[in-house]
Amino acid sequence: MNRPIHSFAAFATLAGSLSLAACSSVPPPTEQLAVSRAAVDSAQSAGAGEFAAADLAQARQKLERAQAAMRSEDYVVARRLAEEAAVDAQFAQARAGSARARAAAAQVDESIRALRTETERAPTAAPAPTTPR
Amino acid sequence: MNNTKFVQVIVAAAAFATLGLTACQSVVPEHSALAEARAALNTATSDPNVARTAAVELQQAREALARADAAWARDQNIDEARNLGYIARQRVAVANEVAARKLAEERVQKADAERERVRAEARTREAQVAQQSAATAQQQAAQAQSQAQVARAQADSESERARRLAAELQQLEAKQTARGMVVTLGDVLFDTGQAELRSGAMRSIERLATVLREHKDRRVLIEGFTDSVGSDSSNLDLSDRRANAVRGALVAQGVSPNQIDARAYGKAHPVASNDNAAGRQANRRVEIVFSDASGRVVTR
Repeated sequence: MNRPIHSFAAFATLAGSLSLAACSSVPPPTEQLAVSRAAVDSAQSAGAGEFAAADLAQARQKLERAQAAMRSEDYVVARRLAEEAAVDAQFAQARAGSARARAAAAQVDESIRALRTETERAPTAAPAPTTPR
Repeated sequence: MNNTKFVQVIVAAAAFATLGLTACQSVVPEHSALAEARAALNTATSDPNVARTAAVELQQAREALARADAAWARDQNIDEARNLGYIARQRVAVANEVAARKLAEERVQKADAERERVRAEARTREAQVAQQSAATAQQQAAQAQSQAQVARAQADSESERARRLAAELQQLEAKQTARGMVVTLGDVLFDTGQAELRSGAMRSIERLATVLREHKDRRVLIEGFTDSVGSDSSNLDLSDRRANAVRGALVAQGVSPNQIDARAYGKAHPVASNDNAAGRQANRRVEIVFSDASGRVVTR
């Protein structure tokens, strides 16, 4: 009889509706948002506000948009934005660290140059420069 | 009859759909976001500094890219690809920044050692200079000391010699005058009107000679005088002959002629009145004027 083919059609429809239902079963990314918020705070305390201000601002903006998406229950978008905010914050922190270290290295290079000139000119007086720590 | 046709269409559609799915998987190109992330990761991996100092961060970037690749192979979702590709690219950027920071920190550490080295060099140079100047100062001080010693010894011996000379001249009955020490040889040492020294004069001559031989820095001026009796020319002549007689006697005793000058004054510069015999005798004399320690004699 025609019963097996009817079953197939029914199955196809069920499968279709299941895939649609899959979108609405994405959980809200609350844990990711918490991680991202922590990453932004960490970057802030590491001085990213001073040495990588633009990068930190971008992280904050994405975090706000993620929170807005959460409120609209757009959880897929919220998770994506939160993940990007987290990695942006990590980048801002890393950039702040390298900017500081590079400034210190430049300062130290300069102080050695000055020290060398000083000691070669007047061997009797060599003032001790302050070391940035 | 209609049911069969309907079912056939459905089956055909399903078959097509499945085929289409499998065909898409091998034909759809990589999303540009993933390609960019991959290129950035390759560059970072081939940089030896990044590989050395940011290995952990590089690994995280690799994992992020793998996740992006897997998602793309599975769904070809453009939004997902953009998102995961971006994340992978940012992780590479983090690795690069971490490497830059560590490199700068290494430079700072090396710089501390470098600064110490420069300072140590400067200190050694300072020490050397200080040592040298201390040695020079010491040398100079020692020199000054020995010079002072020599000067003291010299002064001592000079004053000692001067003392001895004074004592010796005292024995000769020398008189201290404005011109210096003067030994007077009286008239009794010569025969009347003669210039030859009598034997009694020899003791004085010997003493004078000894003094002059010992004190070679001293010179003498021998001055001859007469009384006013007789002509000026004969008196000058006599005084001259007597002064030279004394000079000759001293030279005969070994005194250097360079130490002696002789001068004749005749009746000039009397020391007593010529009106009486005693005075005239006193005027008939030879004066021997001693120089100072530098050999200068004060002339009349």
